[in-house]
Amino acid sequence: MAFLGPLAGITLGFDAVNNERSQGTLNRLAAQPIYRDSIINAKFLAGASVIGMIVLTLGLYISGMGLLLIGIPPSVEEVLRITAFLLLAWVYICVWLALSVIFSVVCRHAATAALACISIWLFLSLFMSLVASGIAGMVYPLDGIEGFANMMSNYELNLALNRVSPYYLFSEAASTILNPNVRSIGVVTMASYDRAVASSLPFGESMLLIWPHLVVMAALAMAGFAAAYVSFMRQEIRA
Amino acid sequence: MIEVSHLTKRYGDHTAVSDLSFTIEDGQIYGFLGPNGAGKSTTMNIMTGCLAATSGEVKAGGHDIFEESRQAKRMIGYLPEIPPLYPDRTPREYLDFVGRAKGLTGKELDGQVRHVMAVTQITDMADRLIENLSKGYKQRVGIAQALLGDPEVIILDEPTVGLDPRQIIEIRDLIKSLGEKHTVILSSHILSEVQAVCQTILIISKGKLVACDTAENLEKLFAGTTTVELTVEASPREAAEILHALGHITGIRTEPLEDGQCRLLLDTDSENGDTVCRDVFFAFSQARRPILRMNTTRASLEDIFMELTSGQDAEGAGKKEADEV
Repeated sequence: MAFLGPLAGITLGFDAVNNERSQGTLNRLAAQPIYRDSIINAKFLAGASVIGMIVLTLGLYISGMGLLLIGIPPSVEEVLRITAFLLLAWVYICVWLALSVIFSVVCRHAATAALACISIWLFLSLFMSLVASGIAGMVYPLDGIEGFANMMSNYELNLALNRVSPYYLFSEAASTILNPNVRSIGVVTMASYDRAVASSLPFGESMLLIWPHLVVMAALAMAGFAAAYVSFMRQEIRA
Repeated sequence: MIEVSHLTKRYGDHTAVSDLSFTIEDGQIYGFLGPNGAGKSTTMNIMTGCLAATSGEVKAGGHDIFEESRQAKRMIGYLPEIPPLYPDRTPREYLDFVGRAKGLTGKELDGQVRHVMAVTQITDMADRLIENLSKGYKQRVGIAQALLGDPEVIILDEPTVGLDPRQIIEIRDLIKSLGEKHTVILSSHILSEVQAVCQTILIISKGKLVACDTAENLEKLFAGTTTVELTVEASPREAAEILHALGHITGIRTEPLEDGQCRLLLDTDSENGDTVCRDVFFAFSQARRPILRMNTTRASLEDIFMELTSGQDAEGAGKKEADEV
């Protein structure tokens, strides 16, 4: 889901506006008695709705298959975790939808928009961790005697840079919400575990851990849509 | 119905439309003429609310197209130059979509879709994919979507471009029939089409309105001279002697032909064309010199268009006409 989910978002958004523009249907739409922002709002909402349906359908299908194979009905907490995961996945894919809608507004050609989105997706999914560790290594070198002193700073910077990527945010949040044995994210020291009770985390506590991730991804989706909205509203639609 | 006041549109340093003002009255077919790059499509885009103006205002039925866009757009049906249709839909599905965008629902939507398909004669093609339709039928689908919602004004931008002669005639007939119930604005640079279909002609050049009148009045206004062309059985010298005593003739050109005939071109004022014809007939009749052929040539719409849209003279004439508008 973390790696291939973005493709669904990109597929639904990369030609949303520029295809209408190149077909000449955009000015036809703009000439209808509707507000101009209805066009961009509808493009995003339609994509988000389709993503919602895909995620929900997949979630229900996988859950149903699991129920058939295992034969054990899920507890309320497990249902809540699955629901939270599906919500997380929906927001995550919407981030990519918003990004692709931005490019569909900015780029004249659908192919350009698709290539731009795919390059960002590949960079953030595959290469961001390499870049993050490289930058962290340059800022806080781990070589030599000072490496011991820099270890924590290096790790924190590496983590902070990785969290720029929605891919990392989603992966971290998904593993936390789906696995109650994940009790913390980020740096864990021995002091953190001091006198901690050895048990799995309840749903509410897991949600507290991933709440910032969810909020950041929702904010990214909204910021992306806002950028696409402003860009679209400032553009001229010519026949 | 539509009032365009001091409309200006600039793209950087280039002024596409400059201080354009005109009024579209109810129940007429207007022809919007101009050479390529004159500002026709820009004006139409602004009139339909697709494009923002740099300055000036457009009101449709009293509603400002920029301030009250929904109310104003409801009064306008627009067919852009190339009918922008979704090729993977059928005409029925496409019209259903456009109808919903225009706020139609339920039985009203179904009824209007059926009605516009009947008017534009696409009912038989209603369930075929648009990509499989001929250009003529695509154009009809485009006109059908412009008719949805029963707008009072229909704006058609180059509706016959790319059609074969038969389709052109059919679309022209359709436009004429639309003119009975709607105000139609037809943008074109095909002069014969505008002359055949439109009652009033607006000519735009370099972003300015240079003329607005009926085709006949424009011909009268801009036909400075009428030329009477005749072929007579006489030598050029004899013909000149016969014509010498006649009034209203401002210029005579002669051209000898074979078999003792000659061709004469007589220039006169436009209002004296018939008088000159009559006088010439009696003069040659008295001199017993038969007239073999005679016809008058007035400035055509094409001549007027060329005069108005080229050079400095056009700007001068344009100002005069625009002031009158």
